[in-house]
Amino acid sequence: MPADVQIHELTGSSSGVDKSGGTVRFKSADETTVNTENRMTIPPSGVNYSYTKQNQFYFNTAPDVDIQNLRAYSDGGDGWGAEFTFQFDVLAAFSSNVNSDIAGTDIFTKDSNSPIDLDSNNTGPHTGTGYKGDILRTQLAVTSSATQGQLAAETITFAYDET
Amino acid sequence: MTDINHNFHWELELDDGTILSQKNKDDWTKYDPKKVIRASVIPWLNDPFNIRKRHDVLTFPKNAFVRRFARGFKKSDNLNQLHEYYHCIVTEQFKFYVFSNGNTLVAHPDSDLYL
Repeated sequence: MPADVQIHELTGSSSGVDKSGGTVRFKSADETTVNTENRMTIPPSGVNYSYTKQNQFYFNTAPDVDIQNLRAYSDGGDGWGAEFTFQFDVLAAFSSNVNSDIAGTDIFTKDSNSPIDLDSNNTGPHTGTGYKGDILRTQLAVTSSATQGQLAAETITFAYDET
Repeated sequence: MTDINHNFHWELELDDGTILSQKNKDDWTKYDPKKVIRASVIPWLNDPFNIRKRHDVLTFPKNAFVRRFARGFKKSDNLNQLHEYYHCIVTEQFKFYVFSNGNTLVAHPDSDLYL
């Protein structure tokens, strides 16, 4: 049978929250709940950074043979405007979430033609169950020229090849 | 709920008659891509209306089998469901895609399809 593959939001090393049916919300606190608490604020000057989010593939059941080519990408269209930066980097292991600038790459430069490689450090083929591949760490930055309110969701696609 | 990665399964036939399949994964030790003469994508039996069809790719000397895989896509707006899960058979001359709804696509062997 095909593997049951999930995407988790990490809360520690090899531990996290199954985001099935849920979304990831950038906040001013290090927590995974999707609500309107701990909202980011628009700074009077400079830039405010959200706490980072770390997402990783989780195999709830094992593949018949193996899984490799773990990838992630955006739609390539920045729907949030220049007042916001949605940046990412790739980690080999969990690192405590921070609300300081990770100096990452604009995720909207990574679309289906140039997806993010999520098994460049923890290389495949991946077998068995549990957390697999690299960690996609993301962060939202808000500048002083932003307008208040809730942003429309942006979609990140996670893809994998199953043998 | 049955997800769309259960719409089809795969099967490979080797030149000695051995059948490797998703239902018989213990035989995977016999897998040798050079020995594959047929690669198939077959509906699971839970398709009561027989909407989805079986697809067979036969190999021949100038179009040898290279590999097969399935690619799953999850989108962050609903991570508990697969957005798409297609099967792909790669030969020297082409890639043959079978999408979860039964649609097919033949493309260049160097193409790479992310949805």
